[in-house]
Amino acid sequence: MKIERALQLSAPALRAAAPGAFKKAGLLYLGDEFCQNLVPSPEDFALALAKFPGRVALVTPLLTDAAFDSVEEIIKAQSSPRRRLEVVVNDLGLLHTLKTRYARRVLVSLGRVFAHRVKVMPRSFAAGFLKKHNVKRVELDDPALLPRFEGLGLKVSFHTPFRYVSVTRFCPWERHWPAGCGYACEGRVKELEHPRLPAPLLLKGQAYGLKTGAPPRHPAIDRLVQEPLPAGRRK
Amino acid sequence: MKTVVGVKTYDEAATMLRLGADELYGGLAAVPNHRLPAQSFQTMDEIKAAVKLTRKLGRRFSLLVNQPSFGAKSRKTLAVARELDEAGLGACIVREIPMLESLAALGLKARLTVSSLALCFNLPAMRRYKQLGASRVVLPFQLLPGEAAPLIKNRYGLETEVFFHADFCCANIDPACRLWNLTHRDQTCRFSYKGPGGRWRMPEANAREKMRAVYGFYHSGARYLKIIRMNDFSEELEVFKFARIVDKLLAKGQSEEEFARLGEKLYFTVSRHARSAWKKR
Repeated sequence: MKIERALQLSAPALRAAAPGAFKKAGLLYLGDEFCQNLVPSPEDFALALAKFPGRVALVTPLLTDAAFDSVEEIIKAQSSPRRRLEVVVNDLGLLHTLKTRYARRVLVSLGRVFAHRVKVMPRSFAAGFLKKHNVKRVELDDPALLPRFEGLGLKVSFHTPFRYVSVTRFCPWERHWPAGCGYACEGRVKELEHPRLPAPLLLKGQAYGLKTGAPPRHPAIDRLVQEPLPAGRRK
Repeated sequence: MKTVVGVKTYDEAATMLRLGADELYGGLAAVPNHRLPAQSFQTMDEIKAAVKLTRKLGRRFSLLVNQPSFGAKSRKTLAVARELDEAGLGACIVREIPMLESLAALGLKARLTVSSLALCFNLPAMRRYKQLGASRVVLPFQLLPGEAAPLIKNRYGLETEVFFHADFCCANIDPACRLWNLTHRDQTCRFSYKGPGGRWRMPEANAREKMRAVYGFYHSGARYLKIIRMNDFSEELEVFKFARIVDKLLAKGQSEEEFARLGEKLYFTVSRHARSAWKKR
């Protein structure tokens, strides 16, 4: 099976990206699963479509009402039954809205935060829940979760080299709540060490995680999503 | 604001009711909930007695069902909810959708409250929970007053409850956090890490920012103030006292700045729990 290559970029990273930065990827994941300040505005999304020759998927985190409206504006403007927009979803409100209002215009992928909720559903319930919400794909970054999603008819996008462990809304870079973002996290990763941890924690955007190695081989994985970790910049 | 207070024994329930708590909530050790078994009622008889006492005084007791459960444990949870419902249970506080649907299907007299751990961040999510049978939503810890205002003022008839942020707020989004799994023994969110510029800790709002959050919630229309369960009940009593003083300050109509200044001072003088939490930082 041919594995599709996708590149994950936040909205500010897209704005800063040099032409040709996307050459190797056939698909752009635009947005962020952990911080709503890194999700594209409708203008950003239009810019991505202009800059990137391939398809662009919209990546979304948990959404406040204001962020929800902005995401819905992108969906309204950039999707149609002929040109279905792929949306990575981590919010129940968005998942339900996509099902009730945009079912024929979008392709729904279950995000990494939401995947942890579905993994604890009784299996038969999970199957019905996913079917009811037209979920055809799941985003994963932990090989241990692969068996939990087997048999549910989902394709898997596997993310490397960052496996998320925790997420906050109190910005660790600027030390304030979400309003008034200065995008201090853009292009930076902080490495945090502690003797009781087997490996350093990485702070990327509003998520803490671990650096991972090569992706596993699994028949359900048909897409690899590369999340750039700025090399040599650990401050 | 009405106070919603966590308890884990009959005596704690009786004390809090005597002191004027408007509502109580608690878990049963045999039913999966989000705290350690030691922070829950240990026997069905004891929690049932607490439910009956609360009901007798015309107040509401809610059962915590805010942890995923499967198979036999799920059936046990439903059986407990049914039995407590007959004793006068006011509500079940639920995190996961399958359990919400199962409890709704039982047709209990008890109402259904959506746990903060369900991460209801927006009106469409709230509307969905209403469709699933909920009558109240506990707002997630890290949703700010300005962001929560549309939910608090919702037109679906759903009540909202907010945590008493002044006392406690996780550094990270609780149900989306698996830091515990890194060592299975440490609160790794409290570690002092070695970072690129020296020692580094996971940041959280400071006392004044937390007080501003309480102020904002009050002025957004929040009317139910939730106080977390604690291991040490004497500390919880102090936090309850702190919350009552804060509520009186809010009712006086002070400016945000003045309220935050006074609240910060109280934070470090009234609540031993707050002081010890701060020392750990």
